[in-house]
Amino acid sequence: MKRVWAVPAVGLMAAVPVWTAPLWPVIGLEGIACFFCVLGMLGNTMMPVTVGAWLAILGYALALSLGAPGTTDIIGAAAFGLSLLFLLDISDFMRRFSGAEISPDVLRDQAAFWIGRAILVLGCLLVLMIGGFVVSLFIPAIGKSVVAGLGAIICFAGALRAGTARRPGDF
Amino acid sequence: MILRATPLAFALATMLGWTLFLAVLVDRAELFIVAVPLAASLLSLSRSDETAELAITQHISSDRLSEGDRLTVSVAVSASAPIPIAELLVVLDPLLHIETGSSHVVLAIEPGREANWSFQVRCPARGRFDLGTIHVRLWDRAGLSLVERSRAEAKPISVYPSIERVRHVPQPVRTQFSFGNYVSPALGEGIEPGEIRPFLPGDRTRHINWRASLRRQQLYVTQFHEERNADVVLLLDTLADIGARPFSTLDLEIRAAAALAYAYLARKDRVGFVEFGAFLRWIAPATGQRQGEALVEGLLPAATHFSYVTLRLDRLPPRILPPRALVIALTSLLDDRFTNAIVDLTARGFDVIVLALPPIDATRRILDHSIIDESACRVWAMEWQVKLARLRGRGLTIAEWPSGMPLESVLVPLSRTRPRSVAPR
Repeated sequence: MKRVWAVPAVGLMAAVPVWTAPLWPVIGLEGIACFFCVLGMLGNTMMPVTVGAWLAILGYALALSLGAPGTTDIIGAAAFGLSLLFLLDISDFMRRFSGAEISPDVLRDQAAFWIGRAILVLGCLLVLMIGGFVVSLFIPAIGKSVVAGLGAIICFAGALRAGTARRPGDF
Repeated sequence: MILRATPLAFALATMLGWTLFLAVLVDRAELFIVAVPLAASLLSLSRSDETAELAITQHISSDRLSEGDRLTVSVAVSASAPIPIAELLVVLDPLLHIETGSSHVVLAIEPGREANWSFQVRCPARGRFDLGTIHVRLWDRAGLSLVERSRAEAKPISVYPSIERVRHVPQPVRTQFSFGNYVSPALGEGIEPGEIRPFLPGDRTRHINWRASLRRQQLYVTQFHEERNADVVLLLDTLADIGARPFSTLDLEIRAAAALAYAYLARKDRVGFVEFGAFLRWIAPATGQRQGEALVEGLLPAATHFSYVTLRLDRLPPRILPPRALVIALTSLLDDRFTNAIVDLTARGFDVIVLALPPIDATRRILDHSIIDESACRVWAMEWQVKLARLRGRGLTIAEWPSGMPLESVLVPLSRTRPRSVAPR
């Protein structure tokens, strides 16, 4: 697998916040984020890539808060999220199999898996958007933030449990 | 077996938490959307993990090799359940070089189908190695969890020192009592003519020297030297080793020892071996092809071990260092304990030849050729030559074997002349 595969992901990850609010702080943050990501990709280490992704999210949040308030950019956000995920996936794949001879079957199946998962995520987003729209019709304006916050907490707790649960054979 | 989450899982969880925190902070729905792919990816961690049974078969083309030889390692893997990503690593000693293929592969394994891979390894240095340890990592497709296993089944290989053919070896001054290839100073039955003396009753008429008898008008007989074998003990200095393998001083000493052992065994001599290092290890002198193999096997594990102990060769059993034996000391003369031991042996009347390997050549190989290094090496070379001269002054026969020269070219000047002294009958 080549490092070049990660270039579109890094580019998209930096482009979405800059396109949202083309301001110097955002451009600066995304530039630093790109630098860390490239550093991680070249060094086959995960830490700089994680730091780069972390900065990119911060830059996107800054762009959203400094940019003109308007309609929600669903496509841009989905592209940003997927590029972030793909970047982390590909950099980890390169890191863990660095120096190994990878069978073409594995590469082909992995690419198919990533594409399939991206389609699944887009489907999930669509369902969530429609579900959110339907739920918003029945909940008063003040309760929307509470429901969103609860959803976020439940989502985070579920992910944490999945990541830390012990299984048979664990030490 | 170890099952655990990967760094990717922790990275995704961190990103998810950070995104949700910022989403709540800036109150924008876009960041919640960004969090969806991360959360969806992490959900695959919660799936139950069915670990497949792996069967690994390993085949090695040869388990006995010479330095520089190549061997092929073939591995076949099968599984009871499909494994999307199986990472396998055959643990290799750093001395072994992979020539073709890789010892680290990533395979997809289907149940009922065998996944095969092979690679070729070159063995540049002598030693015993084990290729039987294989580490296995079974990854899930998302790369969020893995199962680690290890399979350790002994697959030893022995890499023997390459043996240079040596035709001219130093002749021992003293011989033993069995029949051999050396002309003994002792007179008796043989084919090598010695002195001429007047005929005595009991002398065989076929030994009469007619030319001398006619000239002197008296019967003279020609005496003959006996052909006898010798005992040779190879004394290996393992107190110090300099340089990077396979060109370290000890590696060169062992190659020389193996070449000498086979050369002397081919002359029907009895050859033994003493490793003089942190501890004494030896093989008693004997003759024959089997002894050659025993000696090479004995040389294989020779290595330096740190010790403050000063060994004394007079503690060795007499049969290991037989009287009248030729002792060939293989050393880089770095440790004074070894130097003292060979001086002591000479003083005890042993016929000692020192094959000295300059440690400077081995050191130069691992240095970057800066001016300071080069100057230091020159000074060291001069000091080493002074040490050689001092030892020669104490009566030691020393042959210097510089790097890159054939061993035989160093040994030829040590070929001694035929003994002229006549033992009393």
